[in-house]
Amino acid sequence: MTRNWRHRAIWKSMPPQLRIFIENNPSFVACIVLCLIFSLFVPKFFSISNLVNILDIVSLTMITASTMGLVIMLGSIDLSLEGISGLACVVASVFVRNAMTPFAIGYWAIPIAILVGMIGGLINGVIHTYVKIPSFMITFCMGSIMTGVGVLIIKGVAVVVRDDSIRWLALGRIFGIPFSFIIAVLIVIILDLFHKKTIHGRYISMIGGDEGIVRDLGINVRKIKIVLFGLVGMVYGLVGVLLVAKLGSGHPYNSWDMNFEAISACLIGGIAITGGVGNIGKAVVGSFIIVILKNGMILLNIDPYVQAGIVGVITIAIVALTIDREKITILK
Amino acid sequence: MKKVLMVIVVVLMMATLFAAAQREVETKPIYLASSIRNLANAYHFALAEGARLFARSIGQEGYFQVLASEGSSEKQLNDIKALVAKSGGNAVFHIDPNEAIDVIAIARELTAAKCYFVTNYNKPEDVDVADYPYWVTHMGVQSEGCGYATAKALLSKIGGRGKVFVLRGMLGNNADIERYAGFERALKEFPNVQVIGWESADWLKQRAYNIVSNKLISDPDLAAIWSANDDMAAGAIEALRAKGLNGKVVVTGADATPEMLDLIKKGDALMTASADPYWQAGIGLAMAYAAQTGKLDVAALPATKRNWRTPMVMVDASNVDEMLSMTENPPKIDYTDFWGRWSE
Repeated sequence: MTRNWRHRAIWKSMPPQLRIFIENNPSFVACIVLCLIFSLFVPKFFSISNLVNILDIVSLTMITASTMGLVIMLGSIDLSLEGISGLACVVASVFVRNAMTPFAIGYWAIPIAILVGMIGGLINGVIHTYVKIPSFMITFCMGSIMTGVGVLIIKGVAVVVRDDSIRWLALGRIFGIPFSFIIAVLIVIILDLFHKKTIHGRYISMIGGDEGIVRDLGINVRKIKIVLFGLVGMVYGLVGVLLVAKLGSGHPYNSWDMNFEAISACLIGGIAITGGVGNIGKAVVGSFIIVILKNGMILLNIDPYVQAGIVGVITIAIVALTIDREKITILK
Repeated sequence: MKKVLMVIVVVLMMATLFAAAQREVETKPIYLASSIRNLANAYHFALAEGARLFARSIGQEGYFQVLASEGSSEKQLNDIKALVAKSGGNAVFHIDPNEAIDVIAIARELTAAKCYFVTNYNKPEDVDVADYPYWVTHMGVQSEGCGYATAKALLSKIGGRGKVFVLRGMLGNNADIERYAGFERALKEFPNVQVIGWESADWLKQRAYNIVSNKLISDPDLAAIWSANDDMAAGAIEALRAKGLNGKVVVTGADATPEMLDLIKKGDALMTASADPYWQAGIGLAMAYAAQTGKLDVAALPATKRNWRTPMVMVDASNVDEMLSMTENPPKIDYTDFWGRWSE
């Protein structure tokens, strides 16, 4: 990027720490620029109500993108997000007070949903590593299976939730900040600490960079993968609970669209699809870019027929401008 | 010795298969199928269940199958072909085509296989049912009327003035096109209403939530939201609830899902519409079965009975309890009364 930039004088006059930050975080800079442009040209974009609105909508995307980011950095892909979180959403809804079943166990539904997610994730990891089925295939199939199980449980009819305490997870506010966003920040911090501060986490990017070398070093790659898929599944389970809280019902389709959004957020943020490159922060930035783009389109009342095209063009532009081509040795 | 044993096993297997095939040929049951989009959608689930209830009523539930296309036109056609092959051409179908245009390939396939079928909802206007002798009837739905009625109720409720936002479904679906046409017809009667825009949420609740959440920023004084289906309406209501506006912004939908009925009862939604999918699919399959067994002469049916629209029932606070009890305990359907709800 610096070699092609015209304004060398301005670039060289910047403090070195700022230059390094911009070089290492181009997506973050793109996000800031996007916010500045929207603040100037999009009415009501830079208002408290809209910022709170963005935090509310981005919370689920942040969580799913962060977990997806870990899987992508591992060199794999996880297409079971919609299925696992959809099933967890159904399971959580049938166990809290609802219009369909006699259960009403309140917050105890959360660990049950997380357990369901963990089981789904572990199955992904075990079959991927032991049976050696590519991650995209096994997770795609597991996603379908999980969706099918969810449909079987509720027979196609959404479970209407009547538990206000669960709803508070999404509807509640602390000093005006959506509680779901606070949960998202906590999850992101935990995942980031796991990735950067634990041995297990550090191996993730190493495996994504070159699995052969890591294996030759005698590290148990299989165990690391299984643990990661299990962890990711647990987070998907929690996402299912948050979907119940947000939408007030349990249905496998409540998680529709999440796969594509999570993967897009990671790529836009700068996590290389080939693995080994990236961090949780990039996934978070990518999440904000996607949500802010869609928010801007609606606020500007852009014709729905062209919205998808505009979002696509801007996304390509952001990725093209921010991608670090030197770190990507294989293009897929 | 091993080779001899293997030969004996293979011969036994072939004999068993032959015997089973012979038994099937002798009894030749009529297979019944309901071809719908997917079971995760409450409306399509009800269609499939309605068809199943008919199969059960004639003691043929063991030969009933649900064919879920999962939104793929190709899969829908392949599944139908597979059942035709399995049944030896002795099958009847209730079909909700994935897209309107798919009905042509399906009609050709089933006409060649001599299998009677009934279709729901999606059909191109210029396709004539009478061109296909095994196509018993097409039961459309008064979607335009539904869109008109819900829009009229919505716009009347806000006193004929104020800002209205529109949530549309998948833009290629007949249901979306016709319901929105109904909305536009109603809109002409309320010149002081300001439609601030529309978005497609593809029938999805989560997508509708995000769209409405964003829309409430640019237009916090929204008076009403017209939604082409109940799932999106429910998503809109949850977005309103997050801002404390549920029950204050008027919302309508369509399909009469249990969730929407609950929201009407709570006062968060104004109206929905029911096409009675249990009845639609049950009666449709009953007609196809009657044709296959010689009890219904398709060729003798007038053109108006080969292509017609079933009425929709509007549901609001005045009759939501009745609709809820019907949802929990579906009334018995007279499967011989094909034309009870028919009108020219």
